Amino acid sequence: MLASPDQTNIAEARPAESFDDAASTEPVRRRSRLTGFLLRPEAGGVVSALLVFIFFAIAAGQNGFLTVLGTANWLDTASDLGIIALPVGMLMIGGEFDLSVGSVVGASSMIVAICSGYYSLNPWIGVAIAFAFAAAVGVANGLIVVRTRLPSFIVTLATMLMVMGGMLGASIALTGSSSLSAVPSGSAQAVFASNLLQFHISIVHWLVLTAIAAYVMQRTAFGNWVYATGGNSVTARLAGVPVDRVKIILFVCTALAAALSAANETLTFQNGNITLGSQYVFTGIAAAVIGGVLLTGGYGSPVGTVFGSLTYGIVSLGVFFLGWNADLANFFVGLLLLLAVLANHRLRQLAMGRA
Amino acid sequence: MNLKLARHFLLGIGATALAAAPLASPGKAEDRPISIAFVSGPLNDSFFPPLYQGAQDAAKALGVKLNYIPIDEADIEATSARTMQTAIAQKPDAIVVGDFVTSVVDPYIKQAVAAGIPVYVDQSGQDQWQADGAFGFVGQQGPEVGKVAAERLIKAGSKNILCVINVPGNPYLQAICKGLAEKSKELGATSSNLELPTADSTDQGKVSRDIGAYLQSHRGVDAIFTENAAVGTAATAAVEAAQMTGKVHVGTMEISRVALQQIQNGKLDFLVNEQPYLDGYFGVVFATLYVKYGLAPVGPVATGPSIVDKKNIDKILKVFDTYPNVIGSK
Repeated sequence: MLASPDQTNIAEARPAESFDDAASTEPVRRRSRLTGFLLRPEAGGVVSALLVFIFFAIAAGQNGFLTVLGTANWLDTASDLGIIALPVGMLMIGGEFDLSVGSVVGASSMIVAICSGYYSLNPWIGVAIAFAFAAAVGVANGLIVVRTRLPSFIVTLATMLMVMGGMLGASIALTGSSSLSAVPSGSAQAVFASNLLQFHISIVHWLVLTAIAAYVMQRTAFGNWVYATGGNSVTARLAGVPVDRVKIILFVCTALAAALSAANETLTFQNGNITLGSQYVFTGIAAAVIGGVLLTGGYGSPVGTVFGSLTYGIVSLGVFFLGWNADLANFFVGLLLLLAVLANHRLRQLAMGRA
Repeated sequence: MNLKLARHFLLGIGATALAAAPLASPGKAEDRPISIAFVSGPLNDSFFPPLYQGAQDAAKALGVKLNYIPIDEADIEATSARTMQTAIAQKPDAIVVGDFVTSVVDPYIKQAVAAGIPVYVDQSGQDQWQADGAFGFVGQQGPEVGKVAAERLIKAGSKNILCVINVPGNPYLQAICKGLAEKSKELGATSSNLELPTADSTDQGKVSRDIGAYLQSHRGVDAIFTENAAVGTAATAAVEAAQMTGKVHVGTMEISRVALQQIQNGKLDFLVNEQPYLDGYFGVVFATLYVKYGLAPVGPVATGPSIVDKKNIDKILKVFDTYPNVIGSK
């Protein structure tokens, strides 16, 4: 009786892999390239992005979705979210959550506006102070989480409220207002607020950050440490991974990304607002999960998060091209989130069973 | 008797006496400053800091004690109820309230009036204040704003106006768009509404792209009216990105520095100045005069809508620069 291809695979795969890892090209060649791709963490994100793009291209193509302006619309949205989703995803791979990103965006926005608008200083000063403030919040988040061993969900929820309320109080005390003009000028304008056609420079920031994140996660020891910390922090610690330092660095990364996002938005629209960025708390996590990051940690990739952000950008702009109720965008994103989690779960089971 | 116990006993009596002293003396009403509870919107909504500033300035000028109790727009119904309960419990000399959610706040206004606390309705609630027993109203009529906006845009040549609502489900903002729709129909034009998703309301970049996408899929739109300055500048950015500046007229409510600049360079046609500073200032003034002398203006006092456009922009800019937080946030 001819053995089925699957059985042949497993029978030949196991001995080869257990005795000689270096020469295990045989089983890899037998596994189809498609399967190989589907088992990667980014697969879910790529498939989601592709599906929604095709859907809106068909349904809204003649309404302007496929024009240069339409493409710039969803790409800009994806990049704004993507800048924050990248470190949020990495933090989730490392096993923690950061609910304070939203309020750090708002607070940084006010700092930039107060410095460049209210006090009429060079905008770079405002940006520098905002980054320093964000780094401080990140360090605080990280230290509290590692010292107290409390769930990061609770800790960052608390810091979110403190940053939000504290900044509102400070800005009212200093300026009497919670919404201020920010005056960009010179090089700050070029770095944070410039456009090419209708494509905003935040796309460039996003691509650069993605390249750095992908390199770090795939090719450096730090990347390994992040996966290890998220997979099982006890084992990781025993294996010599500086778990505490990894977590603190990741929290600082999410906060700095929030400050960058705030600088972009504030200097582009010349308006600082304390409530800016509140939606990133949820959409950042959604983009990471659609992109294949596991909520339990230890699995995922920055490239996947990129596709998760693209998916969100396409859906949240696509509904406007279709003339649907705008809140349907949220419904779609939620639905996609669910489907992506189920698909990723299934694919991971397959990966565990077949490899 | 134990000496330590006696000492504690005497300290306790002394502390109680000190605490009760103000209550013990008869305390002439004229010595105690008038206290006003002002229930209105939160300071993270850019409309309200000038209102708060006005209320504070009036309180300082008149020497009254002001307690500003803000609602939370994210939980507008529950906090509208809670803030009124707090205000009534404090037993102020008068309550000034922004009646944004009339179904929730009206019963509390009636309750306060029945308890002997005079109520002055401020900024919102123009239809209900008399029935509730409040002694006056200062503010503007939402539908009026919509009517004035429609007139301006149609006079500039528009035939299809888009009214953008940035807080979905907010009855005041919806009433404005309704007024705009009715006036448009009267003058032979059409209008449509766009309710932005809640998550986007403070993200100008996203709002700009949302409006841009809507414009692209609804090619007939030739005018946009927005209900706050941030969305207004997002709308002008969308029009510019679609290279339709000059073909699509944009007007907005609320004043900001960027909005004033865009009036000057023509990207914005007009601003509706709701003068929230006056809402705050007059609210405190009228309540104080009523408490002290029983005098109040007869009928509603309108603080808006007043229009800012190329004709009066210079005058407004001068005040804007000299007095921060009066015309709008700096």
